[in-house]
Amino acid sequence: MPGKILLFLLVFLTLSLTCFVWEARGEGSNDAEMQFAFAERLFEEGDYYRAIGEYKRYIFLYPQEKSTEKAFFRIAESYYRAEKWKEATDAFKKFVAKYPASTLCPDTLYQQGLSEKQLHRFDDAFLTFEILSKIQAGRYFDKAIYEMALILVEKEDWSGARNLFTLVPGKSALYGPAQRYYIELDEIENLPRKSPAAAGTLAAILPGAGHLYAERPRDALVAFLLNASFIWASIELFNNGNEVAGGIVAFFELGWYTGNIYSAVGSAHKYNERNKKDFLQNLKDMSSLSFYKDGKSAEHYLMYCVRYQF
Amino acid sequence: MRQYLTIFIIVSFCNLFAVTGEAAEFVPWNFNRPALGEALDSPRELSLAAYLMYQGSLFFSRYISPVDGDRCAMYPTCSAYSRQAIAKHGFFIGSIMTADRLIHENNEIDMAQEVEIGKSYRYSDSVAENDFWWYKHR
Repeated sequence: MPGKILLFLLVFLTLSLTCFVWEARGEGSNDAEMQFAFAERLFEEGDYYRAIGEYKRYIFLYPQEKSTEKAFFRIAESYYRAEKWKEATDAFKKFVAKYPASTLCPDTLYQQGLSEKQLHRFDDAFLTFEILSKIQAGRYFDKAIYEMALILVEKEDWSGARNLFTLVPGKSALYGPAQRYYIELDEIENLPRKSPAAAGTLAAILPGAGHLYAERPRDALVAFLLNASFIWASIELFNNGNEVAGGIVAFFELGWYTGNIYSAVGSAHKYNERNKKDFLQNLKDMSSLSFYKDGKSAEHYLMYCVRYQF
Repeated sequence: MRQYLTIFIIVSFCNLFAVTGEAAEFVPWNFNRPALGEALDSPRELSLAAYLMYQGSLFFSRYISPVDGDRCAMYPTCSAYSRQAIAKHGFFIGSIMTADRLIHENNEIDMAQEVEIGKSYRYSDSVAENDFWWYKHR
């Protein structure tokens, strides 16, 4: 009889312990889900700074959970959305190195390329988009080619950019803007230009003439008057036997004279740069594109806006 | 008793400062990197001529400009621009760029971008916008 009681107690104790362990395991899993959900909530609210902290906490506490991969991706994405381009680039690279076979790799490479582009690391960005274009992920091929072409536009490789714009597939939503770029970029070499060498030479011959050539009449007047008055003052001082004062004024005049030449050359460069920027900005405005990704459904959307002038 | 009270007050007073200092240092997204403006504003190793010109410009903006009146419409102001140009390119190029700035600001106002500085608007004309054609920015 005592043996039966002992056996009953043993079975009861074993069952109780099993139930307790199962419950504890269930609670742990629930904690992980809650932690990830909280991080996701912060991410959706746009509180990226805190979201990164919570994703890191999740990775630290639950390194074996299946959402760890997504948490790493979200950290990089949080940096990207917060426009912390350098941190985003590093985080995306870390993700690709850690999960090279992940289904999130195309998204990662695309956003890494955009981050590098923002940092003006055009060679790195071009390479990233090139890798992306070769990955068997159809939905990113056209975007990668288009971004590569835009990088070449930034690098002023007009013919290379035009060639790449022709590679955008006809069925892509980017085909229209790519064609527009292809046609319009042909005109960029015909934009009005000012020769920096001519501006510098004119400024050296007659202070202010270089500015006049670069279409800056008020600057031309200032350059002419400053140089003329300092030259006149130094000549007068030398003629009156004030060599020291004449030397000091002549020294300052040398500064105005070289400054006038530098300014004229710079003005010509600015004129050319401004025309080019206006042209490209107009082109961008005429066929503006916006990409966005829905955080909940993870679907990618493209918005294309075309403007016509009447 | 009075001694203990004095010590307690001194320690509490020190703690107050310690806590305040720590709180003031916390800045979200601060990755301990100086901003571009800060890096350019502090003079690195300068030649004697560059150092004297830099200090002269600093003297002007600290002591003469407040009395003379703030009339520069550009951002950075001409004296700050001069210091940045000297810090970046040294005495010779810095002086030429300063002269260039004083000559070109009249027409630049028509083309430059407006930036809000404090309660007023100024026209952006940085060193980088005037040396882009020969200096490769990193």
